[in-house]
Amino acid sequence: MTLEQPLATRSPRTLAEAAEAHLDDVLGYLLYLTRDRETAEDLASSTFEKALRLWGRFDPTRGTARTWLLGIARTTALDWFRAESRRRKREEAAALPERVDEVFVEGLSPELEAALATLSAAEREVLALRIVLELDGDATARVLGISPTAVSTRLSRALKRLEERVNEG
Amino acid sequence: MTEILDELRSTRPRAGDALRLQVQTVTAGVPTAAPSLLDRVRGRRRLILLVPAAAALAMVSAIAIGVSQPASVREAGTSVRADQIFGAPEQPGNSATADAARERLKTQAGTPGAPAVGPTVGRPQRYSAELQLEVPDADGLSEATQDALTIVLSLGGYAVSTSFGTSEQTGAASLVFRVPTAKVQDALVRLSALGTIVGQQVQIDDLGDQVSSLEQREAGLREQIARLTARLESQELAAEVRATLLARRASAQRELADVRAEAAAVNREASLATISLSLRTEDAAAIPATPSRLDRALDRTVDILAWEGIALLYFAVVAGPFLLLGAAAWAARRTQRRREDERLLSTS
Repeated sequence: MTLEQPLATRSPRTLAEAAEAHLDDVLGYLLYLTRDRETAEDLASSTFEKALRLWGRFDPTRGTARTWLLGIARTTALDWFRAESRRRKREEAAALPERVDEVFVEGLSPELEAALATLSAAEREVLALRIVLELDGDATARVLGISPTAVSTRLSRALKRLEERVNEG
Repeated sequence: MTEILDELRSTRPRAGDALRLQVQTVTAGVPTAAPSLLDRVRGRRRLILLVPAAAALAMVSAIAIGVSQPASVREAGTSVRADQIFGAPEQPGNSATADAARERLKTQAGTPGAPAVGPTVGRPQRYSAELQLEVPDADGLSEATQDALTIVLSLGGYAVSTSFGTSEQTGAASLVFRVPTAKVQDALVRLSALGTIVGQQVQIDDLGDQVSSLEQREAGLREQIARLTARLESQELAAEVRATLLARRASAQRELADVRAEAAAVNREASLATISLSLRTEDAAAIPATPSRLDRALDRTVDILAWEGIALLYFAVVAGPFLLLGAAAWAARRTQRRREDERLLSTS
C-alpha cells in the first residue's frame, strides 16, 4: 500500500493539479485585493492562463506552486490596477463610480466587511496572504517582493487599523 | 482581535463551480512540469553560470589550439632566433626541424671569417659588434681570452673591460674592446676563429648627417666671427655698440669651441668600433634545449590565454561604462516600478 501525499503539500505534477489545489487561494487573494468577486474571478482565470504559458519555467526547488501562482496572481492584479487607475482618470469627468461589491466575501460580518473596505489594497493583500491563506512570512515576502520584516510591519499595521475600524463601527 | 482573525479564516473564499470548470478547461492537458535546464537557469542564475562557462570555453579553446598548433609555431620561432644570431635567412615553410636548422647555421657561422657586416669606407659610422663564442673547456677559455687581448692590441685597439670566471670545467668571460674602425672586420674575423660562433650581432649607426651638420655650424660660426671682427676694426663705433659686438663675438667663439669639441668627439666615435666578446665553455653554454611538445603546447596555451585576457580587458574597458549605465537604468526603472505599484496598492 502506498500513502499518497496530500496534493496541497506536495509538488504538483501538472498545472491542472496545481489549479485544483490552489484555485481557492488565488481567488481569495484576488478577492481581498480587488474587493469585487467578478473582477477577482476574471483575474483568477487570467492568472491560470498566464500560468499555462509559464508552466515550463516553474521550478519546485525554488518555491511551492502555491507561492508561484500567487506571484502570478499579484502581477495580473497589478496590471489590472494600473489599467483601472488609467480608466478612472479618464472617466473622472464622467464621475462613474468605482465598481466594488458591498459583500465581497461571503460570510463576513457587515462590520468586518466595512472595516476591510476602508483598508488599502496593500493592507488587504497582506491580510489575505498571512491570515486568510495562512502563508508563512517568507512565502508572503516572496509573493509581495519585500522582506519578511516588512511583511511583519505591514501586517501588524493592517491588523491594528482593521481592529480600530471594527471597533469604530 | 482573535475574533477578527477567526472570522477572516473561517470565511475563506471558495471558487464557484463555473470558475473551477473554466480553470479546469484552461489547465487541462498540460504536460508534467519538467522545466528544461534553460528554463530553470534564468536571469541572474544564468549570468552566474555564463561567466564560468565562458571562462571554461576560453580555457578549452586555448588548450585545443595550443595542442593542435604548437610545433609549427615554435619551429618558426626558432628560425627567427637563428636569423637574429647568424644573419642567415630562413626560408618560410622550411620543413627542417629546429635542431637541424641550428646545426646547419652553427656550421656556417663557425667558419672563420663568417659573414659580418663591415663599416662603409669613407663614411663616419658608429660601429658596434657582439660576438658570442663557445670554447671546449676552461683551459680553452683562458687561452682564447689571452688570444683575444693579443689580437686586439696587435690591431691598435684596447680592452675597455674584461671579466673572467671559471668553475671546474665550465666558465665564461666577457670582454669589451675598442678597435680602429678600419680594422674591425679583420678583428672580427680573427676573434671568430677563437671558438665556435653561437651568436653574432652588428649594429651600425651612420654619423654622416651629424658630421655634416656640425661642419655647417662650424662654417657659419667662423663667418659670423669674421664679420664681427671686421666691424670691430672700425674706429667710428660707439662704445656701447663695440661692447655689444665684442660680447657677441665672444659668444660665437665659445659656441665654435663647443662645436669643434663635439665634432672631434663624433670623429673619435667613428674612428673606433666597439666589440663585445662573450666566451663560454660548452658545458656552461645555455643553448636552450628544444622544448618538448607538451612544453610548446603549454606555452602556446598560455599565449592564447594571455591574448584572451587582453581581449576581455579591452572589451571591459570599451563596453564596461555602457553596461554599467544599462544596469543602473534597469535598476532605477525596477525601483520606480515597485514604488509605483506600492503607491497604487496603497491608494486603491
